[in-house]
Amino acid sequence: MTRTTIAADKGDPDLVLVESALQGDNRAFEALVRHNEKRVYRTTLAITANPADAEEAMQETFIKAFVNLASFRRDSRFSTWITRIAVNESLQILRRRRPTDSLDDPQTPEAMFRPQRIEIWGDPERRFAAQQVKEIVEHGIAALPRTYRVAIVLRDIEQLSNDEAAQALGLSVPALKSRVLRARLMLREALAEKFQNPPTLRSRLARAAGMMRHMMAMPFERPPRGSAGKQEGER
Amino acid sequence: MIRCQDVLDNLSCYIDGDGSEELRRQLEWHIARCPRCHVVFDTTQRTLRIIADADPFEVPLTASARLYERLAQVMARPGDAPA
Repeated sequence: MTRTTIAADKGDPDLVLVESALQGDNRAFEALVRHNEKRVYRTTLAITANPADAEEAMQETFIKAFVNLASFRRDSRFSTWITRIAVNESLQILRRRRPTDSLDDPQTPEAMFRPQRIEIWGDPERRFAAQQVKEIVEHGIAALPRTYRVAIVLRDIEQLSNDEAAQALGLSVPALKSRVLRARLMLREALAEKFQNPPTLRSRLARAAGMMRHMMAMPFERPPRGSAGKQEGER
Repeated sequence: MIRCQDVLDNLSCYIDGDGSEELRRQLEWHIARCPRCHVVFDTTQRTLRIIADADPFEVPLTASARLYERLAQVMARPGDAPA
């Protein structure tokens, strides 16, 4: 079995293109760029937060990838490898432009992640045009702290696994998961401002009634096995 | 018994299908009964679906064109071909 077939068997379609590019097929490398440019741009934009810097970092990423393609070890997907380069290139530009900024956890107070807007949403994708939804999403993501922004972009837009996103950002998996959770809660809160139904007297009453039912039902109903005997806490 | 804070702490586990079956069963039990956690869980899950569907932050066409131009220059330099 050739190396190319092994690569294809691992389920990474980019690996076949990598093999061709290594044999001097520049069109294969261009195909790799096409497959990955959006991912790379989103990563560089999430970190630099500036379109011109994001573009520069994207160019440097692909040039580095082209020149150093032979050093790509096939123990990760090509997309993870190039995302890692994109993170490094973006951080270099960030350090140049804003030396005090980093991807460190901003130590945001826990209260920032506590959900405040808890009305139901109805159907925002019917209430708003697709372009409006896209703008609301972009605005919400752009407003997140850098650390959380890049975590949610890699995990939930680019759909990297926890392991892949942690690897790309040079983080442990638990650290990555903690940032993703915070990012998700903060973004949910931001989108809720636009998407949640305005509270009506009826919805407030319904929620109060639900809370009452909840409070009355909880102590008497048994959860599935294994959780009895603990103190009931906050609701 | 699972508390609201536990649901919040484990929301990603629940959404991503991580964690033990036992934990997931307990979270499910709480979410089905707690209106507040139900809304938070539902809207977080929808947040993730909406942001993936929205396909945000597309590469500007001009940026893409300049990228291919720059790459073409690099590819034309004999010393820079991948070894």
